[in-house]
Amino acid sequence: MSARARAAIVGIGQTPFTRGTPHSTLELHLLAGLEALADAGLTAEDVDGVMPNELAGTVAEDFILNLGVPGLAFSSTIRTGGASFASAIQSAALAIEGGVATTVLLVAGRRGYSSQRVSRTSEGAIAPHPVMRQVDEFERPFGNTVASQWFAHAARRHMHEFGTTSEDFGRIAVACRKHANQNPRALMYEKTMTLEQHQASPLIADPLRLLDCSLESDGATAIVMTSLERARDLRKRPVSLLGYGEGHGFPPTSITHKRDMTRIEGLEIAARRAFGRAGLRPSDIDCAQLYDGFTWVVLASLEAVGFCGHGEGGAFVRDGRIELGGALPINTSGGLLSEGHCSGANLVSEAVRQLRREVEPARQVPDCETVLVTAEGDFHEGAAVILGVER
Amino acid sequence: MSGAGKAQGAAALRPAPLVTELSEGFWQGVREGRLVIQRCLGCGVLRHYPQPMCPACRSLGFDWAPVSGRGRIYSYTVAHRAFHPAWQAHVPYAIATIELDEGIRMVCDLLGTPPEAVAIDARVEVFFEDLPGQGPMPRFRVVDPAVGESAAARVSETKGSRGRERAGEGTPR
Repeated sequence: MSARARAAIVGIGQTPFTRGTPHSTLELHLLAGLEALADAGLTAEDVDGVMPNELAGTVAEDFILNLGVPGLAFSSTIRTGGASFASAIQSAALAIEGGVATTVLLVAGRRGYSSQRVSRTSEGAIAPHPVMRQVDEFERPFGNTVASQWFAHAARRHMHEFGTTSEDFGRIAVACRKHANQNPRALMYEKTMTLEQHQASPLIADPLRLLDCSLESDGATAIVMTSLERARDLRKRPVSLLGYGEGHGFPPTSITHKRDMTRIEGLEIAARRAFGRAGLRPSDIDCAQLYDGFTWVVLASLEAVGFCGHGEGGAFVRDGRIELGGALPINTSGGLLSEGHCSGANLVSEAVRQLRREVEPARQVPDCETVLVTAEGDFHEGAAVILGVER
Repeated sequence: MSGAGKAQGAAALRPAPLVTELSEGFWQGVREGRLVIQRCLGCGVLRHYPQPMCPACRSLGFDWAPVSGRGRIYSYTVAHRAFHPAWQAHVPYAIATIELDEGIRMVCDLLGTPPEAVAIDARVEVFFEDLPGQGPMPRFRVVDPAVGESAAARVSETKGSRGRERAGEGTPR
């Protein structure tokens, strides 16, 4: 256990992943938040920090008002899209380590099926967003309108430079699906996938196929963080935050303008910082929960973290290494590709469950003591956290 | 110009670029049929997309420099599904990241070029076109398929039919 660990995750809560929900996004957040507090043995009165999630559009005032939080001392929202939840863990840790807050609630997730559905934007307007300003002026008006298309440019260039194939992407999709098939919580629990089915799935933004894209689902996930010292007195086995880091590539406002779009530069920086802070190396990781908005992002994340060299991701995933039972199981819940898209927060809850031995026996990574969670958002921005348990 | 956009009514108009005071010079050039790129007055470096400060020398001063309009495809995707109604009638269509010979990158949908003719390193050139909902826009077309790409071989088979069919879209002003 690193001497640096000063913050811990003490509670997790999650609404079911569904396609259709009677609840608003805020209601989903409140339900997940209450469950996380109960899991920790805490109440809303204990909360003095809230990290609302950018992608959900919630604000701190929503939580004060509805949970009845009497003494909020800290609140902040990170604006790096899919990386914002993992980055928020860093901010929450700083608030706890700095003595500004003692108990911080982090919530993410949205009605990705019932209201903010990418595949239905054909009917809707393009939402203005400060980070998207340049894309709104110079890419969307030229037909490059959605994330699958932006990431397809990077995936295509990766294939061109390194010989990466669609089958390599497919092996990632299949690994996630196999894991989801052992996770009753997963939206794709009962739906199997073969590499042949992946290859036969329709092209969305060539080279990305339908089964290279993450799910459109409704649901929210919450975690509660506090100091490691206080965590030892709470209900569940504390999960220590051993390392954290965020990173921003250049330019941060477009994938097509990246100096090298085949790298997730923001994650390279973030992972380096997280490992440095933890005093650990990639070979110390027992399993990894890698942000999987698209399969190519997983492949590029394996490279960015340093599990393999730049350009070697395709070869790395070819032999079953990333599946349960392999040397580096990834996305053991099914991830965003097959469990549900909870803005990356469900990768963190899965890491906590693995470390607490709370998953189904078939999914439990043996001797799991150290888990890496990565996130990628907007235009190759990155965040990484390393979680562990005391022996 | 293709009638597809008009035929579907107002909902099918291409989204207008959100022009800012900062980028006005770029669009002024486009209206004049010229491709101009923001150039730092401090160090002479070209930059796109427009931004207020030069990240190399931190100068706020800039002017607009004409560029060749010639370059190559750095990467691309072929959209098989439209996520905006303006492109519904065009799928599958290629969207390219273009690297100009001056080292500047731009993004453009290549509606006048069959997807089979699009390949990394293929040579492209700019032209200008009035588009429904947008007005004058810089556009690109493939002028010389990449050497050594398998796509180059496919071009000769497909260019005849689809290329001519859509050629009207690519008329320079």
